[in-house]
Amino acid sequence: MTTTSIPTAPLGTLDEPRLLAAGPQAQLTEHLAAFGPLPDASNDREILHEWELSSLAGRGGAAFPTSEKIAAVLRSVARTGRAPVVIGNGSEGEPLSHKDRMLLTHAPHLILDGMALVARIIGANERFLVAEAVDHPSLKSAMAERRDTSIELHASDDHFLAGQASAILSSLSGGPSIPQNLREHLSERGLDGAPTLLLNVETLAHMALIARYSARWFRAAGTNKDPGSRLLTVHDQGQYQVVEVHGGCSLDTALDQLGINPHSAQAVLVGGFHGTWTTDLSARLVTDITQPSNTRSIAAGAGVIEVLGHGSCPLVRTAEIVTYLAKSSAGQCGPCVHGLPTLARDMHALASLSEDAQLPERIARLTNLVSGRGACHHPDATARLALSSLEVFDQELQAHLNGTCLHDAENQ
Amino acid sequence: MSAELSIDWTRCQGRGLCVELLAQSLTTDPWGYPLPRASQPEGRRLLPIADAQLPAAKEAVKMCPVTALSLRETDH
Repeated sequence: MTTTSIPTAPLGTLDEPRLLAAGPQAQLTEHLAAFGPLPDASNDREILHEWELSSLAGRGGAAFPTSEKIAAVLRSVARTGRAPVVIGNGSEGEPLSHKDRMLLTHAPHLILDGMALVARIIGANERFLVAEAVDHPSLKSAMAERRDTSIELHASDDHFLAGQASAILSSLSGGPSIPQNLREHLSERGLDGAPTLLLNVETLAHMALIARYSARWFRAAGTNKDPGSRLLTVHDQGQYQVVEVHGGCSLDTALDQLGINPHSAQAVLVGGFHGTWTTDLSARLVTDITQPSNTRSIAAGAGVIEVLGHGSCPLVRTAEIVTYLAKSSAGQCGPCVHGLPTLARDMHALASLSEDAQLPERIARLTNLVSGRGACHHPDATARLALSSLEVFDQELQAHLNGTCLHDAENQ
Repeated sequence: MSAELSIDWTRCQGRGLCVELLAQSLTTDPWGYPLPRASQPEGRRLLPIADAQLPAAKEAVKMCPVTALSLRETDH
C-alpha cells in the first residue's frame, strides 16, 4: 500500500484479520475453507523465493530476517551433510505476552502449515513444536485432524527464560530449560549438533500465508520498511487484548482503534519486560530501529504493549518489573546473579523516595556492569529497561530524589 | 594471527587466574568476576587478544579451574 512517497494516513490495526481469517478456534474444515490447501512440493523453490521477497522478520522478539536464517541453515546442511532440525517456538516466557498462546489456540493449523512447509523445503525430518502444556489440547486435536505424526510436541516450562533459544535446545535434549553458553549459532550447531532452524510460531503462520498468497500480498500490509502485519498484546488498566496491526503502525492510532484514549496514557512500555519506555505516542512500532527513518520509531520486539495511566508512577512500575526480572535469573552467570538483585534494590530505593542523590549514577554503573556479561541477554535487556526509565522519566526522577512523587500515592 | 577470548559465564566462578595473567586487558568487577577493561558492553562478548598476550591467554585457558575460557584464533 505504501509503495509511493505520497504521505499516507498513520497505520493501525488491520481492517481484515489475516492470521485469524479462519475464525476463532478454527478446525481443519474452517482452516481449509478460509486459506485453501497447502501448495505442493513443486512450488518449493518459488516459496523459498517468496519468503525472501517478503522481508519477513522473526516475530519472537529478536526480529532476525527469516529468509537469512533459512539460508544459513541450508549452507550449514550443504557443508556438513547433516539433516537439519526444525523447532517451532510457542513458549512465551514473557508474562505480558499472550499472542503466541492465542495463535496456538485459534490458528493451530496455520502454524502446522508453516512447520510442514519449511521442514519439507529444507529437508528436515525432525520437527519439534514447543509450547506451554496448557496449549496442548487444541494443538493435539489439530494434529489428530491432519493425521500428522511427524511433529513432536514438547511442553516448555513456565518461567521467564524458558522460551530463550538455547534454553529450548537444552530442554529438548533432556536438560533444564535454562539458557546455555552456545559457542556457535544454532544454524551451525543446534540440537544434537545438527543445523537447527528455530522459528517463532507467529513467524511460521506468516510463512504459511506468504507461501499461499505471495510476498506481494504480504507486503500490501505495513510499510515498505516494515512490511506485513504483526500481533500485539496490548495491556491497559489490568486488561489485555491481542490484535493484528500493520507493520510500522503508529502507537496512538492503534491504541485509539482499540478503544484506548491515547491521552489517557502517560507512557507506554513497548516490548514487554525486556522492552523500553516511551512517552512519544506518535512513534511507529517497527521491526528494525537501525533503519533510517524520518519518523520516530521504536522496536516492537515480541509485540507487547503496556499502557501506563496518569495515576501510576513509572518508577514504581519499573522497580516492580526489574525486581521480577532479577528473580527470573537462571542463577548461572555471576554478573547477573549479583548485579540484577543490586539493580532491583537500587531501583526500589529510587521508587520509594529514598532521596539518595547517588542512586542514578549507581544505577547507570550497574547497568553498564551487567551488560554483555552473561550466556544470554537477560542482564542486558534488564539493564536497558532500567536505564530507559531514568532517561524517559527525568522529571519523576528529580522529584523522587527530592522526596516527592508527581503521581499520587493512591495507585502505588 | 590474532585471537579472541570467550568466557563461559555459566561456568565462571570468579577464581581470578585469568585476571592475574591478563592484567592488561582484564580487571575484576565488584563481585570478583573478570571484567574487560576497555570495552563497552556490546564489545564484551569476545575479548580481543593481541599477539603479545597470546601466550598468557593460552595459559589462562589451560589454568582456569572451571574451564570457563576458550580461545579462538582469527585471521586478521
